[in-house]
Amino acid sequence: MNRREFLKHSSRITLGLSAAPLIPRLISAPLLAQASGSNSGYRAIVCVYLDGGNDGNNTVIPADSFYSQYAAGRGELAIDRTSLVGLQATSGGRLFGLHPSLKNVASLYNQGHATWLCNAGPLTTPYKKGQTTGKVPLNLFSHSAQAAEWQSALTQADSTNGWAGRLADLLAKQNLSSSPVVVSTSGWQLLGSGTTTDLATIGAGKNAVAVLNALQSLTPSLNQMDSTPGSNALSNTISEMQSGHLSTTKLLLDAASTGSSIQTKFPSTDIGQQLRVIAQMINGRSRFDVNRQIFLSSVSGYDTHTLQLSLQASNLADLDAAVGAFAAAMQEINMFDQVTLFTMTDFARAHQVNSGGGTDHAWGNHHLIVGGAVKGGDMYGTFPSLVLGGDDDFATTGLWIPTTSGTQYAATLAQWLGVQGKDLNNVFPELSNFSKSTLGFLG
Amino acid sequence: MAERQQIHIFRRHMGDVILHLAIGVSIVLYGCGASKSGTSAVSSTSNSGSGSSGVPLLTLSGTQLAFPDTSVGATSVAQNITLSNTGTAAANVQSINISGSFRSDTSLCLGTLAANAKCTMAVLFTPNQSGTLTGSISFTTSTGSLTATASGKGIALTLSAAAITVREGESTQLTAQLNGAATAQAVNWHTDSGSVTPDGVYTASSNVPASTTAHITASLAATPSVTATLNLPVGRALPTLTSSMPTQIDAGATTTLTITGAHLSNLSQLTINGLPQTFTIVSDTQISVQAAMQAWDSGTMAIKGSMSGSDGGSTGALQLSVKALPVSYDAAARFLQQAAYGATPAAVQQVQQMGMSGWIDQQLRNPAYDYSSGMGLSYGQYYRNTQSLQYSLRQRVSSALSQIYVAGGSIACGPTDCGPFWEALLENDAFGNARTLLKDVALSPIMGAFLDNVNNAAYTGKVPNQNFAREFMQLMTIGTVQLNQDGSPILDANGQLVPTYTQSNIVDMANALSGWKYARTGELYPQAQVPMVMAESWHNQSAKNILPGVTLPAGQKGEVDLDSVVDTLFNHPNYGPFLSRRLIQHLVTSNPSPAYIARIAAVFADDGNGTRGNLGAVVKAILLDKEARKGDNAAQADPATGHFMEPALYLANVMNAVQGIYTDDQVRDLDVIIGQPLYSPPSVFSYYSPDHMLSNGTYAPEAQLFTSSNGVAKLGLIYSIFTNKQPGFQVNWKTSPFSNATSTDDFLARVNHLLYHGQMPDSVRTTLTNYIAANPTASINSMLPDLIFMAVSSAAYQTIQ
Repeated sequence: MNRREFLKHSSRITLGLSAAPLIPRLISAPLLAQASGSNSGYRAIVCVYLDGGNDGNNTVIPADSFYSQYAAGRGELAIDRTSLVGLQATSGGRLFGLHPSLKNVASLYNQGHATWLCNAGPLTTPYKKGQTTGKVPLNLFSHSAQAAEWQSALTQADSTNGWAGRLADLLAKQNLSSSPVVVSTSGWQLLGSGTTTDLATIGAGKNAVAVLNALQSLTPSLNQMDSTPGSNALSNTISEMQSGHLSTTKLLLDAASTGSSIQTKFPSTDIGQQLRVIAQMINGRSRFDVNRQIFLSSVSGYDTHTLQLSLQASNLADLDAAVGAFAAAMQEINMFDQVTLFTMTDFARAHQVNSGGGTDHAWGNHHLIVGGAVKGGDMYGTFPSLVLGGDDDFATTGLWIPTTSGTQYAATLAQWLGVQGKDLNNVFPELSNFSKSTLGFLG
Repeated sequence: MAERQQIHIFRRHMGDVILHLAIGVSIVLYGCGASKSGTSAVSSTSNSGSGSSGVPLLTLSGTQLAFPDTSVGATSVAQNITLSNTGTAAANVQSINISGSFRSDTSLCLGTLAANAKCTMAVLFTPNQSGTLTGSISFTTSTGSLTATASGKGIALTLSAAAITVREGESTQLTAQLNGAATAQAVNWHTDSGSVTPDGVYTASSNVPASTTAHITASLAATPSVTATLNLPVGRALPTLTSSMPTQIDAGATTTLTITGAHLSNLSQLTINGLPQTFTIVSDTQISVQAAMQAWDSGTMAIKGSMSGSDGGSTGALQLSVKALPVSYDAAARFLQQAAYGATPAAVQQVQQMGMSGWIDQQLRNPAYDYSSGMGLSYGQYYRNTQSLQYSLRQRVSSALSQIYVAGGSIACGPTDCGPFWEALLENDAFGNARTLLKDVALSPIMGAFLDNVNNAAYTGKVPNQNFAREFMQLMTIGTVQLNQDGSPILDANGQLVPTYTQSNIVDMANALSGWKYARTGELYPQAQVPMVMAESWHNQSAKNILPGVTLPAGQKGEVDLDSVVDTLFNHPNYGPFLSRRLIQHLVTSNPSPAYIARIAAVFADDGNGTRGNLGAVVKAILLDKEARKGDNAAQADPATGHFMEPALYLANVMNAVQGIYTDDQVRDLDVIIGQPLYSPPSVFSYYSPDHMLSNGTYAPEAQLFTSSNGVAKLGLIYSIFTNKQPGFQVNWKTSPFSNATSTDDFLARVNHLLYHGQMPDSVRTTLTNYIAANPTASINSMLPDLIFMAVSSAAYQTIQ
């Protein structure tokens, strides 16, 4: 196994090639060992990124007296109150329902295994409408900028790394692991790119095993070719990246095929299959010599500028089925308490419908967290008042100003993985701008 | 081995010696006293014999044998010595010892010598060194010892030549020395090849058809028995080269050279720049050479001849020069990675002959491919066109534009893929004016469908769909922050970035762009090539503040608003540096210097004829800029320049490199697995971000796709194609530019110049060399799929630099 794939610009270390990890599990690292409540068990977080910006306004919907406020602003997009999937009352006494497609999620919520973090979004500092002090994040309402701000947890500058990548950096500093901390089923994601580490990716391609076999005899020559730096800086970086591709792929494929096969059926959708592969890797975690991992999945189609009702119903149905299967699979392999799934998305969508039966880019949004460790059955954050042009609206079309920052959300997940104190503030430099570092939805 | 053993050995003149052997064995050597050594002169004493009736009496014929002077190592004539028994009884000769440089057959005198009998031995003298040598012949007999002395003089005659070897017709001085010193004595010479003068000058034959050896003998005239011999190798004459006609030849061609010189019939090999050439011997003074130059040969080359064999050797070198072309092979090959789909022998030749500027001008004139019907509608046509020199640059530019003006073709037209039509729009506009491009993009029903600006009915009371309005600005023209002309962001007094627009500008921009619909009504999907038309009743009629400081008056018709929007964005100071940077990134380098961007932005602002937005001029300036051309000279290559090939570009380059064939459209299903499905980017943000950075803070947009899974898929696809196991692709290795290499060096030269424009890294050279060496029984031809696969898999090949 070759470590270079995950270590950027490191000196070239080659560990022995082996399918099985040669190194015993070293993650008795002080950071994670001391910080986490149970210090030696495996833990993973699984991000489901809803690419394009899910319309949160039609995902979590007031089912109490505030429904009329919701419906008034939503116009033709309002979902009938009777078709909502009911959630148990919050500790604050509010009643909400979920989009009719989210039946599995509602069930997990009502069992206490899921929660929603309300109205979170990129924030540099706490912000109230009309406020002239402090800063708002750069390029609000832009897909690329908001996605990057979610994934980097940095809102005032372009970042070359994401918060999951920075967590992996922390691990790499303390642990000579040869396994990737961050594994993506959806290609490169800023979220998983670190300063000194990089993410690994696994494709859905069934070809990978055949490719590895076909190239087996040429692999030493390919490695030799990538072993000596040349004169071009970019080519040298590409060489470092490429040198780990074959061995990384082999490790991930090995992990995904290790252990008894999971009986839970996953949907054949894109997100269903991504979560299936992640579940399999978690099941095969004995192949990895790390015991903290971050898995990244992503599903597109959420940028519903038109025809939102039908598109979102379909998107959320796919999501619900995949998340339901994933939760069931984790329960099946007794990993439910050690794996937490969460969603992120570019931004919310305007509460007011546009001319195409869709919605445009907004800001604060509701995010789903699922797992045995979730203190679920209740909501976190502050649900906005759905008044167009009201105090919670950045403009006039229902662009809710977040009341919780993406940084706090991410820090809560990181803390559950074992990061605390100064390390937490190092990974999340903007965290100290908020009075509460973490949000308490994980126990 | 605990037991001690004793070994008894008898030796003369030695006291007892105990050797302690490591194994604990002691060897005790016992001497047995002194003997009488035979140093006496003739003894004629007699002892009592064994017989009872008579007495034997032994005498020698002489007591001194004198030998003539004899050459060291030679043997003299014999001197006889006779032992006589003049007594009355038989004697017994028990042993005969001869010492020194003397010898004889002693058997004639050993044993019983009867009374009145005698025996004669012939003694020979063979001096082992020069000088007076003495010895003795001692007889041990029943009557006592008899000894005669022998003496003679060893004479050493030695022979040497000034030259170790000589060639046909050449002479060398021979020297004979007597006893290691010069001698005044006369010497007689003899040789079986060539001739020797009385004073010892050897001259080889004037016609030596094959190397031979002259056996030379010298003997002292006074003492003919004193001789010496010398074996002198005599070689053929070495050929020499005097001149070549012509002295200047073309690269990439075979030219007949007439070379004059001497002894050319002895020539066995002729090389130009180290590579063997075919030649014909016309005469001993003239040969004719088929000088085969590789296309990349340049500069001055050395012609050298050689004669093989033990007498072989090399000639001096003649200089031959290769005619210089306007563009060197390597510079052309590098240029073609930037401006086309890599180097092919034909493409390089074209650039070399036309020059880069002329080649670009030709590309700007070539009409675009017609994608509107027939094969154009098939997905494979895009890739097939990458193999045509006619469309190369236009297609490279349209591919770059397709990642700025993104419209996923498969979304817009429903079951029919609009991709080829979008390709056609961009190719048609690639070298035209950017304003035309912007308006065509805005009005295309493909874009209308992709970013939802079709049927955007934003009249009073309706909130417009902002999708196209936002991305038209953010991703296609001006970006989110104000830029200097060198592409760097403008900072305000507080050091803060300055946004180009606000959220309310976006809404008004969307209003200004509202009201468009498909030209054909009543059908779900558009005619892809027919621009959208205005439905005034859907167009928002209010005044629109589309950018800070730019307000369109109320009541303008939709088409007028569109022209105003296009003019505003086209003339925005950001557009030049914005577009310039992206095009440079796609064609030349991910990290252009600010000065490079500024130079191109200046051409965008004014093409030299007062025209803004001349894309053809912009493209030409990008490719001919000094920053783009610097690396043509390897010594000046900037280590921070270049860009990583995106998967589609890489696939096209690799297929061109091996002159592979797209046999059908299955390439369409395969670009998905390597991360770049043609015409179907994952979103308006295309396949990767122009701002994707490495952790060292440098941009490497295409590297965003270079994940472990994509990397492996890409390796797998290329290997599958190269081993002809990939349906839809065919590689004929027998006709590839790499086949039938005459040597490993020849093969490596082809890889170096065709794939690496002369800048192949050592690690690649070593890997390929080792691979060939590790498979000694396999021909290079048979290993081409593996070898070229490795050559195109290196990071250096995948990085256009």
